[in-house]
Amino acid sequence: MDGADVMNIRNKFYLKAAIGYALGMMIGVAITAISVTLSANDGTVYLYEPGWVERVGGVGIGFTLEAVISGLLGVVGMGGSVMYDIEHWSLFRATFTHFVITVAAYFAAGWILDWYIDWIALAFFVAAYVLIWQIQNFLYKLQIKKINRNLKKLRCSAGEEATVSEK
Amino acid sequence: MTEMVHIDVVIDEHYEDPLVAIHTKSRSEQVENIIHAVENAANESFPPIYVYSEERIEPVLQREIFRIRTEGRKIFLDTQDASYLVRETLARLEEELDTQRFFRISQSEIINLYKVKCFDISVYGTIGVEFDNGLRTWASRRYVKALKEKLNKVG
Repeated sequence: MDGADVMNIRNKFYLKAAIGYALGMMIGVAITAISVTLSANDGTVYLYEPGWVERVGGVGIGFTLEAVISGLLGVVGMGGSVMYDIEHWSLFRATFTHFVITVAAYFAAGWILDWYIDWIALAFFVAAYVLIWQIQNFLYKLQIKKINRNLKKLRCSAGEEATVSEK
Repeated sequence: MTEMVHIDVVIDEHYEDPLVAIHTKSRSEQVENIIHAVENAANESFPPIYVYSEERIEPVLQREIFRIRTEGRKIFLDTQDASYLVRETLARLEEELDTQRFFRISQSEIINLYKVKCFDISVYGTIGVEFDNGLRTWASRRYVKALKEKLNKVG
């Protein structure tokens, strides 16, 4: 990778990370609100889990921590997707690396925010990433098939490549 | 003895590149002159690329090029049997190359599509390129869509 490539990927990372942070925050807060409200089922809309907020020292700290960590998960997920732009990385390498950093970030966030995380969550991640990798591979295979078909037509239309051949 | 030459022009949209077929009872001097004239006309549109070979500068016809690649800070041009150093940037060379024939498959490589045997994809999702002479390289996923669109115009 030359300097221009590195800068290009770095700039893409900053942009995606910024978008990921905003989206992560919104989605994280929304998911917490929905899940806690549904769990409580007392007619009150909760933006945070009351027990956890008490443990960390108040609504302000709790809500902020939750929003920031959700935002950081967005940075990891979306910003980390730039590794698919690294030319010499295979699809498998990019997917596996993204999987590792996303799972690590998710489990770290879950430990801080007191989420219930178990092996089922890890299995879900593994299944999701395997599916993503296989679907992408399949789609590229279809494209390659079509490319080869049209390549054959291109070469046929050019005859024997303008080389002088005697028949 | 000079024979009269009859010229037939057949318009066929399937031929992206003109195909010149010479029907003759023998390969005479006149036929050789016709071949050279046609080759010169073809090469005028797309000039040869000048390469360094054993301290000499030599021209390489574009149709003989398999690929042009970057290795470190150097640019190399590969033909059927040899590899030559080129003292031009890849971007500069791209301006001179026949866009019908050549295609950039990564930041560091341009290939001659007419020398490509096939593309493939490994189980790890790496897109491979196999040339007629058995040479192999890889293509960036980023350029696959553009390649597909370019070849769609043929298909």
